[in-house]
Amino acid sequence: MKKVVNNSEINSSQIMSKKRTVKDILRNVSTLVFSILTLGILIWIIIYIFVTGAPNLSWSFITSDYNETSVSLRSESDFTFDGRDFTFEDPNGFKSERWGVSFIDGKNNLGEDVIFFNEICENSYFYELIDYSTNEVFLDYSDQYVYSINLMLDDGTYQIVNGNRYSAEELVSYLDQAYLIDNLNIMTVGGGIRGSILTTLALIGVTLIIALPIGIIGAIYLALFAKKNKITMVLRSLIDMTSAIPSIIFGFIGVIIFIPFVNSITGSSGGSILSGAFTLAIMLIPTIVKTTEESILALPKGYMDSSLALGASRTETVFKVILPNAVPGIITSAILSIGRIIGESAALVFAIGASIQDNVSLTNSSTSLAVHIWVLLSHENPNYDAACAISIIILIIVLILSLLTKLISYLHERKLKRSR
Amino acid sequence: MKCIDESQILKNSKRKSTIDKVVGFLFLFVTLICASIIIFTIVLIAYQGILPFIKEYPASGNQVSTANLGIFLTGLSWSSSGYGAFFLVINTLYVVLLSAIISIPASILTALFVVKIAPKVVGEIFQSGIEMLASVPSVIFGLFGQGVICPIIRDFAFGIGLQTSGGTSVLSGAIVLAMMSIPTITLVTITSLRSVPKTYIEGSLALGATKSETNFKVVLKGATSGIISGIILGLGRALGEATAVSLVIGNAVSGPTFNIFDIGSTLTSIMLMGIGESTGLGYDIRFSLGIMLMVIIVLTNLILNYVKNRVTNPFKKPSKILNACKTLIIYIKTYFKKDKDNEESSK
Repeated sequence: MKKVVNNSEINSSQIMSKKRTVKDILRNVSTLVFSILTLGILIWIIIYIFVTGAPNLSWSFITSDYNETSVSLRSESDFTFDGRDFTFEDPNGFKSERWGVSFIDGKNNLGEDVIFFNEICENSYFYELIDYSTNEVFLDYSDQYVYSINLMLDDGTYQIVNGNRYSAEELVSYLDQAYLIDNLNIMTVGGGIRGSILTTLALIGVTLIIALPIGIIGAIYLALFAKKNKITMVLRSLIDMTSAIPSIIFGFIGVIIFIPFVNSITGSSGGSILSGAFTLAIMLIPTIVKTTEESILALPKGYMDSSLALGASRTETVFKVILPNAVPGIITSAILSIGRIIGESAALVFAIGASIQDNVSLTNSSTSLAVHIWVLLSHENPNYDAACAISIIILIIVLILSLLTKLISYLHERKLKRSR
Repeated sequence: MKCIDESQILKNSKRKSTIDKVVGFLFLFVTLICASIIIFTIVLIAYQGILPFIKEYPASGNQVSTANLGIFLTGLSWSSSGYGAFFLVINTLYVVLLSAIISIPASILTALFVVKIAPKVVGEIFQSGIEMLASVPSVIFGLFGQGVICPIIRDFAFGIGLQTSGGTSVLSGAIVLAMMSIPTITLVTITSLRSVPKTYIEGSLALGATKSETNFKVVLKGATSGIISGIILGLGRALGEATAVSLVIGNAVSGPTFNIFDIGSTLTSIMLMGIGESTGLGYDIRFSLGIMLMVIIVLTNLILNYVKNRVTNPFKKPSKILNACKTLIIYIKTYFKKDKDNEESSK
């Protein structure tokens, strides 16, 4: 062949092939670059969230309240110094040698400058202060900061020191001149997510109780009872279309229907976990119908036929043959729903509200974890540390759930293969 | 042995068939409820969205106020003195378009890499990574956007001599939306690339095309309809996304802005703005925005579906309206051409 073509043609074809190889390489490299970018987004998100959030994630963060609680303390009325000595173990902080306590500057979860307790000596006079409300000695100073302190000074004046206006150094200098603490107002740091975790769990529970039965029945009807006609097709496409509606619109539905509905029944006011659960339920029903229907249709056809041939009615077949075998599919759809409930924020902002609460009840407004993040971030000075710490929890749960669905479908497929 | 006579069997089977019928009706009823969710949603949002233009809301003093439909459809600012949503529509489309410019090429190339170019193990790793990215909740994308993307945009803008409000800008919004829609588009594209018939590929290779030429010119063409379905899903997610966008876009109350470093707003970010504070007209007008959002989503879906049909069946006859439009365009063209010809001939 080569002998027949003349020189110039060979040259041109060689040039062509060179051009083509370069283009080939460019094309392949471009796909590689973009896919690494896509995967990079995931890795970047995970790294950012773990690096920022991990130092803040602790057991007390998960179990403590969000709102700050304050306690008022005072010295005993017949209080006098008995000339005891104090030994400080921590070299840091501003020490009050008179009272046996040291303070340090810090910030509370709203970003205000406040004064934290650094160290309280074992024999400090602070362990003899009395709670105003209970008249008992107050001992637990962990995670507390000074909101304000009213002091009787040696020169007879009365001094009020506010935690957010004075520094720790100034507080200590006043304390060293004081002979009596009239009112010590201390606060817990707050910022915990216990309420939001409880709300999320309650939302998952109530939503699944409402949505799963309805979704499963719908799936059974579409898969086993419905005739193949136009009406069924319309029903199916209507259910499909529901999943195209953005979640914020479902939030509006929550505001329009479910909040007034729940309020009229339970007598609550404003958004509640129940109204949020109803909203999430209508959001999730289409997904549940679809996944369950698919899992029912994936069952071997012989199950239905042989059960009917043995004389069982359709109802008996559904409840005794199809449903037990469709359990893995139902669990999968429940897990998918849980994932969406945990991640949902826009609809819940409307259907429940955006005020973070510690006392969770079904008829009150509170926030789920995702909404909690949104509230923290839409604040004027966003609290990234806490938001990332919550995100770690959400991400880990979501990833575990997606692994679980994969495991279940793998096990189920293996079982089906064996039964064939 | 139990003796069963014929009448009892008949009775039994009759009873069973009535139970079947009753259960069937019950199940049909529940299914109807499932299917009617979308109808209820549309009707309710439409009703509540029209209400602000009709109902009289108590305003300051003894006056009453009602939203003005004309201002709503054409207005360029959003405040209690007049709720104009036109700029929101323009800005929403602009932000989503920007995000699509980023996300569509990225997702298609990623999908191509996963399915055709990467070795099998690498492809599987990438695919599970993308599946994980798809399951990340939107608020976490918002957190990432606010904590990472916004500072980068701020520094970049500062580097080229521009001021931003802390990095919250149209560009940040578009990037966050793109990151959220990439996994959706990619996963659908992967499925459709896998279903391209092997004969296409073999035919192309046999004709002398290289592997990458086959991938880009044959495989992608064969998967076009699937890719467009993915784009529809991805853009739908981007249009309806609220919390993540509201955190990074800056929530401007007037516009439209086409400067990518300026703060902007979308329909959804305005819906979330000042939530829980306003009541009355300021609250209910959100539902009107809801209608707007649904109309935009439906229109984009229709347009993209039309494109999909044209691409997959190019030989299908266009409808009558389109034919009329085409003829009109041809007429206009010939008319202007005549003018040009006349000018040229007169010269």
